[in-house]
This record gives sequence, C-alpha cells and structure tokens, in this order.
Amino acid sequence: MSGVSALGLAFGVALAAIAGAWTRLVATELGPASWRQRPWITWGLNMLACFLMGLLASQGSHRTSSSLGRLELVAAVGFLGSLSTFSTLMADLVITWQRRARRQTLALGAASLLGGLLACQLGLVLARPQP
Amino acid sequence: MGAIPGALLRWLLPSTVAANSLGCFVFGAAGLLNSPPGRRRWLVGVGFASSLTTFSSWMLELVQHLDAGQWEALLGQILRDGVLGLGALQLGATLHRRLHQALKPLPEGRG
Repeated sequence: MSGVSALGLAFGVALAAIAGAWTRLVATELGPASWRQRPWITWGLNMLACFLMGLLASQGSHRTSSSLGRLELVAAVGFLGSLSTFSTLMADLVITWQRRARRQTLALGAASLLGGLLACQLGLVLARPQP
Repeated sequence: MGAIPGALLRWLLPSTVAANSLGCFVFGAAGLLNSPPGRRRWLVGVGFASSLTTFSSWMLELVQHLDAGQWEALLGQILRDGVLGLGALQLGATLHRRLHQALKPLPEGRG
C-alpha cells in the first residue's frame, strides 16, 4: 500500500470514527436518560453495530475489489468500531453491580453476549448470497 | 475528537483483546467509572476509550468460533476477554484513586 493511500485510509477511518462516536454521544450522553436507562441505549447501539458488522463481513468475504475492501475497512474500523463500545459495557456492568442493581448487571451481561452473537449472525446470514 | 486517536490506535494494535483491555484501563484510570456527564467523560470516555475498544469486532470473532464449532475457543475467549476487560478497568480505577489520594494537598498545620 502506498503512503498516500495509507494516509487516505487513515483519514477515512478518522472521519468514520467521528461519525460513530458522535452518534453514541448524542444517544447516550446528551439526552435525559438516567443511569439505569443509559446502559440499555449503549446495548442497542452495540446490537446495531454487531448486525451491521455481520452484513459487512459477509459482503467482504464475497468481494475481491480492493477499493470495496478499503471502504469496508473504513466502515468496520472507523464507524462500527466507534459506534460499538466494550469499555462502556464493562463500566456499566461494574456500576450497576456497585449500585446493587445486580439483576440489571446479569441481564445486561447476558443480553449483550447473546444479543451480540445473534445480531452478528443475523447480519452474516442476511447478506450471504443466495445459491 | 478523542475518537480519532482511539480508532487509529485500535487499527494499529495487534488484536481486539489488546485494544479492549487497554481501552478499559484508560476508562478506569481517567476516573470515569462514576463520573457525571461532562467534557472529560465525553472526550476520554465516549471519544477515546470507546473508540479504542470495540464490541462489534469482538462479536465477529466469537461468531467465527461459533460457526467453526470451536466451543472451547468460544468460551475461552469470552472468559479471557471479560476477565481482562473488568480487571483492566478496576486496575485503572484503583490507580486513579491512589494517585488522587497521593496528590491531594495535606490539611493545613500538617506535614
């Protein structure tokens, strides 16, 4: 990969990351959501990102064009990587546990794991080319 | 703006688990665990740490284990990454607390 195209790719990832982080900021931090509601908004965004990641991964595995590969990289690393978050999920698990909302901790952990697997798998299956 | 270095650093790191663990540590070390919404939380928490970590890529890796029928690898990765994430977050938070206490000025008449 040439220096110019690597720089272009990094620029694309940076722009897409801003879009992903901005979407999450508006949805979780700038609204009137309480500490009990906020983890579920983050959960919803994580599920959406997993579904889109599944679609993208399925598309990517059936294409050979390098330009499309780059576009998928920008979308996956930049936008979806910033739209979804692992650190906030871990923090939400710790915070709900510390505030003795233990059922919420367990529900959030289970829903994140099972929902994420399901959403990603759904995206993969839906984007798979029909025989 | 924190999202830019976060996403670019994740791109450069060798694995999702490295990015996720580092991001959790940063989140804790910045003292964001129980912080109210504000600029620091938005810049470091929502921007940098959340863009450095990724849930969607982690799930894609887990689904690949699932599709291949690699149950041990699937459960092992869930356990390893979960423990590392929570551990890094707590380690960062403890470090933040200790530093905060160490740097707090002594009350007048002491020291």
